[in-house]
Amino acid sequence: MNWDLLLSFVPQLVAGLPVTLSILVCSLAIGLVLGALLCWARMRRAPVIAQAADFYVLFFRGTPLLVQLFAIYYGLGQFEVVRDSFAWPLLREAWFCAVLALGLNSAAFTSEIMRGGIIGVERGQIEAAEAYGFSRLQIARLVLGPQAVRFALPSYSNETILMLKGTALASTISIMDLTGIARKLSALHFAPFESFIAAGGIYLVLAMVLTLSYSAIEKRLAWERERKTNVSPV
Amino acid sequence: MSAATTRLSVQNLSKSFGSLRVLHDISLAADEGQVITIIGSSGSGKSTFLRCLNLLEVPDGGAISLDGRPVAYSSNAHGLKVTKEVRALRTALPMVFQSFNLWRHMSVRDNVAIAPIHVLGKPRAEANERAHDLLVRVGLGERMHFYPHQLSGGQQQRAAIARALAMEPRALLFDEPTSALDPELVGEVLKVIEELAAAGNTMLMVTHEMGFARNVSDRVIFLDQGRVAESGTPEELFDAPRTERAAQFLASVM
Ligand SMILES: Nc1ncnc2c1ncn2[C@@H]1O[C@H](COP(=O)(O)OP(=O)(O)OP(=O)(O)O)[C@@H](O)[C@H]1O
Ligand SMILES: [Mg+2]
Repeated sequence: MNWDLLLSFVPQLVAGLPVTLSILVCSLAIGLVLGALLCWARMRRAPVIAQAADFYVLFFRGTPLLVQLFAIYYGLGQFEVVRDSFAWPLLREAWFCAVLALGLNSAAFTSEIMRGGIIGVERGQIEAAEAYGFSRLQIARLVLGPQAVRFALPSYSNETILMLKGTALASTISIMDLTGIARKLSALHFAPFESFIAAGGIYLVLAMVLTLSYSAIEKRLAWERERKTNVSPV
Repeated sequence: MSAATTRLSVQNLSKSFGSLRVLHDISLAADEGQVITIIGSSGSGKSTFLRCLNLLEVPDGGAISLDGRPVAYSSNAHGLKVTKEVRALRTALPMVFQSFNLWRHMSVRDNVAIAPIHVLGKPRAEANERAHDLLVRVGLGERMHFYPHQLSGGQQQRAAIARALAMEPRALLFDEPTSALDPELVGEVLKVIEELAAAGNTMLMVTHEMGFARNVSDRVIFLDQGRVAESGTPEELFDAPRTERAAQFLASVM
């Protein structure tokens, strides 16, 4: 292994970070918003909407992300309605297709994670809020939300890491993200090992930063552990 | 003393769960400052009755009046319509639960202050100050920044009582407030409730603590299979029950 070559790749790879991170952040945002809607539809059990949401989740969890990405990037352009629509300038863009595929996929998993968090909140917590005159919105904002977030955070941290790794698929549709650049460098210098090890190292650092940030947030929200040392029986 | 006014009254309240009729035409009136205790065997409908009063359960029929004004309620496919009027009733009749149900993600002080701030619209500083005063009153002044899980069951229940008092209630509802407590913690909670009774609070309480019920109650109601089988002063009910069912029940618990 050529260490000098590997080190020389690092700055070039880091130049791909904005692409990787922008895909990650935008698709997570789509996942959160759409995931919340899906979660609401599924928990409300309104006819038709709930079934549609169930099917959506089944579909996106049950098919490979790469297949979803190809279907959107290569598949949609086949339809004239799509080519004629206002969205075509966006759907032609590889970056946008990657964000869309990852976002739609993440929404399915995020809705499951949210549901898990909400189900984790004890019935008595909600009942007490009802008994003290809270409105539905106040219950969601002051009791259900904060507790559900606390329960959902570990799984969501996991989802974020999975999505970070998922962004690498963007390179298959010609995007110059971290992995895209690694592939280019590998071909250019005939050094696949050095280039992909360097890229892997950068992913690892990102994943570690994310994990540490999430556990810091978790600690802040962990009411169960706070000030345990002060407790004295009376 | 002036003539007592009726604080809370219920007429012909009934409730079924599916085909199971749990409450049959229950009527009751609590005068200002009265302590009414509801006793009866497990499954007789005591909790359901209490929960109907603040509409945690929606009665199938019956009228609830607070301070002489009937409270309108109605439900649709999603359950009770939570109107302003319903919310006002709930804040006027706060419930103290058997399992405390303090909100786990806030300090005890915030547990007491949050409903006054967000539901009653009290200024935050004022609500916090009053929360502190109430916690001092139930003996938790030192612990107001603790989280519920850091407190013993008895302390949690006293905090829950402070939370109820913070609503400036018209009447307090207690559903077996000491049943989830270790025996040695029961006394501290009963003492607080006793003080509230002495201070003139109107209270409706379900309890299995018969000695306590006798001491604090103005009236005892014996529920049997969802009906008021007997009601009277503690002396009448405990010393000379008129119905066979009440006599049997009392013999089994005393
Ligand atoms: N949500 C519910 N759905 C169906 N049945 C219920 C529900 N809540 C209560 N019941 C039934 O209604 C009856 C009365 O219950 P309730 O909890 O009011 O009794 P209780 O007198 O409070 O008993 P306990 O002393 O055990 O607390 C019981 O038969 C119970 O199984
Ligand atoms: Mg009960």
